[in-house]
Amino acid sequence: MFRQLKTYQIVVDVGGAGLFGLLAFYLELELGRDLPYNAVAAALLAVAMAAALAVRRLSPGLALGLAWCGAILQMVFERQPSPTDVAIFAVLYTTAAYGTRRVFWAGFASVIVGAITIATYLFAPSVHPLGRSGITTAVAILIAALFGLGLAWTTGALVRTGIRARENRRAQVAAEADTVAEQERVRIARDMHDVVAHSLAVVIAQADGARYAAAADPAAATAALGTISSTARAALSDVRLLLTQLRHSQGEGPQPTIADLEELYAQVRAAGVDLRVSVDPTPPGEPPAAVQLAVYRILQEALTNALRHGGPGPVHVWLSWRPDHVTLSVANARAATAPAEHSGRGHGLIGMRERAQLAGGWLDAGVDGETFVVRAAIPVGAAVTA
Amino acid sequence: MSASPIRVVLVDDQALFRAGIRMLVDSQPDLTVVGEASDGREAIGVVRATRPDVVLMDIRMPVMDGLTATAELLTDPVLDGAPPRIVMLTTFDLDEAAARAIRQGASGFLLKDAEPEFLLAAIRTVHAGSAVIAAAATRALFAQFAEPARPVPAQFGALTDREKEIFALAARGLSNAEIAAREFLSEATVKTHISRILTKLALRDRVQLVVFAFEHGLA
Repeated sequence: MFRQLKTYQIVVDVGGAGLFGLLAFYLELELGRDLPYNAVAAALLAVAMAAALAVRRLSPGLALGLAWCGAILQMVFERQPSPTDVAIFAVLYTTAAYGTRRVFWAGFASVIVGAITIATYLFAPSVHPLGRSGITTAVAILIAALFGLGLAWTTGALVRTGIRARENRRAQVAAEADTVAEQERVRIARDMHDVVAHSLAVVIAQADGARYAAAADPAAATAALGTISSTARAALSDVRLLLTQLRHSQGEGPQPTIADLEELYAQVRAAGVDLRVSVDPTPPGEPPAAVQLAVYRILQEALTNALRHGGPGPVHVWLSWRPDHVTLSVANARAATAPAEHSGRGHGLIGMRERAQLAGGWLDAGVDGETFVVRAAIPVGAAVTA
Repeated sequence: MSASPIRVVLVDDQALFRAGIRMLVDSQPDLTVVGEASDGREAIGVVRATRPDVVLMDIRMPVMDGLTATAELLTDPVLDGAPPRIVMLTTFDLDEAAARAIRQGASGFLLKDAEPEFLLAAIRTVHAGSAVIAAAATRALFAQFAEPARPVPAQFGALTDREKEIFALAARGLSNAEIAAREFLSEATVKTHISRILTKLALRDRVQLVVFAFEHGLA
C-alpha cells in the first residue's frame, strides 16, 4: 500500500503539497466569489487536492482516490475547472510511474472516465436542446481532456518502463556476477576432485596391492611405499595450488597483516602511481587476524586493479578504523579507454567481494563520475584489545 | 579353486592405479592379470588379443571412454558372441555414467576405493554369475537414475509363478545361496531357475535382471 521513500522525498512532497494547498485555497476563494458555500468548498477542495499531492509518491492509489474526491467536490459545489486541477495531472503521472499493476490500470481508467465526466459536466447545463454546435463543443472538450489527462498518464508509463529496464539490467548484471562466481567454484571443485580422487585412488590401490603382494614379494612393498609418498606429495602441491586459487592461500610465510600495508604501498608507488593514503582513525590496538588479512587482500587487489586498469592521476586510499568496524575505500581515475564493464564484474572484484563477505562484511565497486571506487566495510568484532 | 585362473584385464588411464590393482589381483592364486590398457581404444585391442574373463574398466579416460569401449566390446564380432564380463570402476557411488554402462550391458560397478577383499570377491562373483556385485549400491544407483517405467513386455508373462518369485528376489540383488535359503530350494535349482529366467527374458546376466526390473517397474 505505502511505498518506501527517502525522508527528503517525503519532506519535499508534503512541503510542496502544503504550499500548493494554500495557493489553491486563495485561488478558489477568488474564483468562486459568487458561488454558494464558497469558503467551505474552497477549503475542502484545496485540502483534498493538496492531500492527493502529498501522498502521490507514497501511495499512488490513495492519491488517485483523493484526487477523485476533489473532482467530485468540485462538481457537487457546481464549480468550474480551475488551476487546482493541475494536481490531477501530477497524480495520474505517479499512478502510471510508481503504482502497482492495479493502480496503474486504475489511473488509465481514470483518464477515460475523467475525460467523459468533464465533458458531460461542462456540456450538460449549458445546452438545453441538443444542437449541432453543442455536440461539437462537447466532443472537442472530451478530446482535449483525453489528451491532457492521457499525456500525464503516458509520461508516467514511460518513466515506469525506464525504471523497469534499469532494474532488469541491474538484476542481469547481478546474475552474471553470480554465474561467474559459480563457474569458478565448479571449476575448482572439478580440479579438486581430479587431484584428490585420482591420487587417493592410486594411494589406496598401491597400499592394498603391496599389502597382498608382500607375502610373496617383500620388495613390492618398498616400491609401493615410494609410489605412495610421491603420489601423495604431488597431490598436496596440486591441492595447495587450488587452495591458492580459492584465495585461501596459506602462503609461504605468515599471513600478511596491516603492518605489511606500508610495503604494499611502497610497491605500488614504485610502479609509478601517485598513491595518497589516509588512515583516520587509526586502528585501536590490534584488530583480529582475519580482519587484517581481509583488509590487506582487498587493498592489494584494488590497488592492483587501479594499477592495471586505472587512468592517470592519483589513487586515494581511505581507511577508517571505527570501534566495531573498519571501512576502506580506494578511488582512482578511470582510464580514458576503460569500457563501462567496470560495473562489478570481473574476477578481481568477485574475489574482493568474497574476501569481504568471508570476513562478514560487504564490498561495493563501481564508477562514480570520472572515478572508479571500491568501498568495503568489515566488522571488527569485540577482539580489539591492545 | 578351478584349475585355470580367472583372466582379468585392467583398463584405467592411471598406470600407478593399474599397478596397485595388478599387485592385488596377482596375489591371488585363482586370479591373474593378463593385460592392461590405458584407454578404451587400447582396451579393445588387448581384450581381443588376450580373451579375458573379466575386464575392470574405468569410466573416464582419454581417447575412448569406458562407456564407449564397453558398448563396443559387448558387440565386438571378433569375440564370437562371447564377450568378457565388464565391471565399471568409478569414484562416486551414485555415478550416472555407471548406470548407463550397466544398462548397456556391463555386469556391475565397483568403487575405486572398495576394500581389497570386496574387489577380489566381486571379480569371482561376476565370473561365476551367482550374484550381483554391490547389490544394494546397484539398486541405489538405479533408484537414483530411474527412467520412466516402460510397460512390462510379453516375455515376462512367459515366466512361471515360481520363476516370477525368484525373479523378484534376484531383482532385489539376492545371491543364489540367499534365494535358496529363503525358498527352501537347493542352490543348483535356483541356478537353473535363474538361467531359465535370463533365457526367457533374453538377458545377459543377473545385473541385467535388476536393470530389467527397474526399467519395467518390477523392482
